Amino acid sequence: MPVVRLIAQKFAAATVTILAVSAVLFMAIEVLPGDAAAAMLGGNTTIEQLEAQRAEWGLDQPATTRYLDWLISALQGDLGTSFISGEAVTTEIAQPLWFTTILVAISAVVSLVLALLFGVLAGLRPGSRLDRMLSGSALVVVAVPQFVIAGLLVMLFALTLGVLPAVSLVPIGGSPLDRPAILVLPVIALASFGIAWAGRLIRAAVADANTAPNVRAARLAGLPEPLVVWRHLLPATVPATAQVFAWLISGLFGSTTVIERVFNYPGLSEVLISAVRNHDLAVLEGVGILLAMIIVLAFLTADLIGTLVDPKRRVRPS
Amino acid sequence: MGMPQTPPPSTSTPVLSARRLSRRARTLAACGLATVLLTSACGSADATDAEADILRIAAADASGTNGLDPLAASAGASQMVIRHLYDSLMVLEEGQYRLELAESVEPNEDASEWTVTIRSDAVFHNGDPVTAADVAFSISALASPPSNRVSVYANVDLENIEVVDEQTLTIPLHRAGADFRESTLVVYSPVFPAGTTDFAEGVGSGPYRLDSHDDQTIRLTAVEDHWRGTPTVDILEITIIPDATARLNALKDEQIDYAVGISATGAQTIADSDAVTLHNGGLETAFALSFAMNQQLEPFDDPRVREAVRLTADRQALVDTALLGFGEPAADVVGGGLPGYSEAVTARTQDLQTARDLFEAAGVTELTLRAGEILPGMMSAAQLFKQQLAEVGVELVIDETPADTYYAELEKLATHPFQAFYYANRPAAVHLAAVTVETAPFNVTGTTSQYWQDLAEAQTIVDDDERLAAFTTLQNEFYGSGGDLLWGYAYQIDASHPRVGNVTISQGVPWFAAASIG
Repeated sequence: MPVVRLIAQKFAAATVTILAVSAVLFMAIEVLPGDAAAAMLGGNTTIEQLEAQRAEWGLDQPATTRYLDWLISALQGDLGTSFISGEAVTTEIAQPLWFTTILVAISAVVSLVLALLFGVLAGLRPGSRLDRMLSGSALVVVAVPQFVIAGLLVMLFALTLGVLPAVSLVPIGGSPLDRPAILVLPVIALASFGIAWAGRLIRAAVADANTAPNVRAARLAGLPEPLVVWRHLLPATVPATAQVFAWLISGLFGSTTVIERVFNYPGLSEVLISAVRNHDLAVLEGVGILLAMIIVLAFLTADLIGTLVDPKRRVRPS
Repeated sequence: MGMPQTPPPSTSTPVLSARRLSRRARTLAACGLATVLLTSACGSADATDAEADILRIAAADASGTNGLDPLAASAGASQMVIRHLYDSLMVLEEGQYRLELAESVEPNEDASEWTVTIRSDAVFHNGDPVTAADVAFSISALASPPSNRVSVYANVDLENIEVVDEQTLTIPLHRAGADFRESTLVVYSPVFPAGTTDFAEGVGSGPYRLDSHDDQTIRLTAVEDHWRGTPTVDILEITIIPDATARLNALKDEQIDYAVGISATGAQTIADSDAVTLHNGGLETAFALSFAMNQQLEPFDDPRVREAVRLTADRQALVDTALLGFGEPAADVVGGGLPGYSEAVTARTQDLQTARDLFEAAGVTELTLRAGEILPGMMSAAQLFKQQLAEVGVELVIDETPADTYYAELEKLATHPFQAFYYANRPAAVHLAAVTVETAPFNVTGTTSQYWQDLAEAQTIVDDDERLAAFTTLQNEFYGSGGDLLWGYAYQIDASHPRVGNVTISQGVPWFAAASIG
């Protein structure tokens, strides 16, 4: 299949996925009790004032009308305005999205590098003592909830040893990169799960590739082991590793909601929690769609990498 | 956008692009990445502000705003910012009503119109004097959407407010209200410059002015020539930390000096610590916790059922279990420990035999309680009360509702016969006038039209002593047959570094202008 056609198909599927995400988010917030008017006016209001606010915001319109109105604006590049703050959604979420992306990007790089190391070391000699030790440790890490790991990290590194901050306080008007210390514990909490989970999958891919004829032939030809691994084994694991990386990005963005809360990291989690609590549809849709786009892009990239490195998947079947 | 231009040092290492790296080199690169992170961490762990005249405070916030907008502020950090940035006409401090920006607030003969005179030495942070026109504008703004305090000013005749001179204005009411001071101005009356529609600059006349802020932190600096005198702390840095555990961790780690509102569990763990001081707000700043019965709905339209429910409760056990002892039993009327509380109102003691008899006489064997973790411990209290009701032969079904949506269902709040609820502990007169009147949004106890009439009459009595007596009668009536099983007061527990002192807490809001940092 020509690459261009493949890309076109993938983009079409991605568009459908993002539309589906927007519809599901809309329905999810519709079934929650209450609405944005009740959330904003709170207890200091009467039913009459509530109805007036609903009418002003168009919340008295049928759900399909409101969704289509929002969708048409979104397709024109306008993600709407927050009911609560009155700010444009793009303004409202730009900084938290950037901060979360910093956290996820660093965690993803750390996770992938160490997961590759773990996967290669363990997968080259399946069943060895090193493999059993690494795989067993990974299983333990995957089994422990991330908020527990985060809590233990705070207790050890912040409250006992005093070498790292317990919460992520960003300087006023600054970014987490201005105070890198605040990134360390959240990154370790996120990456520990990523390393363990991705490492096990990469280990399986390495163990599988290790038995391939070309790898065995290279060894029989007397090539040094590092060269065998670099030239013959690792390339065979690229498609699987790319998929693992895409899943990792998805998982890390999901996990930040817990980790950011524990460390008070000023990312998207508080925006999301606030949007759900306040029925702030435009903000929720904006965050949801942008995250969906990032994740879909990660999978799209992984698919393309898999296709490009595998000649059999690049050509139309005869 | 505010996005920094400097790329992160840790991600600038070209780990994956180095095609010719040996396995060992790649391993070293990975370790290097971790080292960069950890080294930068250790190097800057102590790089936070630690100057003696900065007080770093952390609190949660219910409003989703940063506290600069007095029309949108709610409980928590935003309310704390408002308190220090804006002067109010009146406040409740240390259990007493106090004039702040107002010099006098006096009614006419029938309390249908109030004359407010304000201080002449109050100045906004932009240098303009505070005038009666600013007060008139502020009241009108607070009383109109999108303000979230519209109901507080529902009785004010906005169109006929008259500015008499620079320092004086008259405020007419729709119906006579002799309790205007305590039921309205004390509840919420910040003043801001006339014509303000954008509160981003945070211009008030309070003892602190806005220095800088972002979505997470607000920095305020002391106003040296404030009419109250110069605040003792130069800079307040107020940070929103929503999670109580994170707030406590930040305090233990000395990233902050004062944590507003920590959990009872957290308070237990540090009660014996020398490194942290607990601040108990006591009754003045407590929350009153209730299982509210709607008197207009079955089966609570039968006074025997209401009395039976109240006699079933072991209030001390509820406080010990649900609040871990950080509270005290309550007596079915809000306002304990505050001005004007009736001496006849005392906490009922558990009487299971009488309760059983009353339930049997009324034919009640099952009740349904709508409950949620709207405050920590509320669900534990509901579960324990279920056991206590079982002892008198009544099965309690708990209809659990998520806390986030508990107050969003206004119709359900108005129509459910039995639900967990909580109130800020305010003076009884203020509470009854705000919560049990006909027009109250959350009249969850379903007070009757006769009660509304008695309350309205009490509100028109101009003589303070006579009005106090009338409200005492109302309290006694509500205590005798009202719809609240008010089982406990939950204290607000704050925590600070031991060097922080002289912090007073009023209505849940700490006041730092007179604080000391040792």
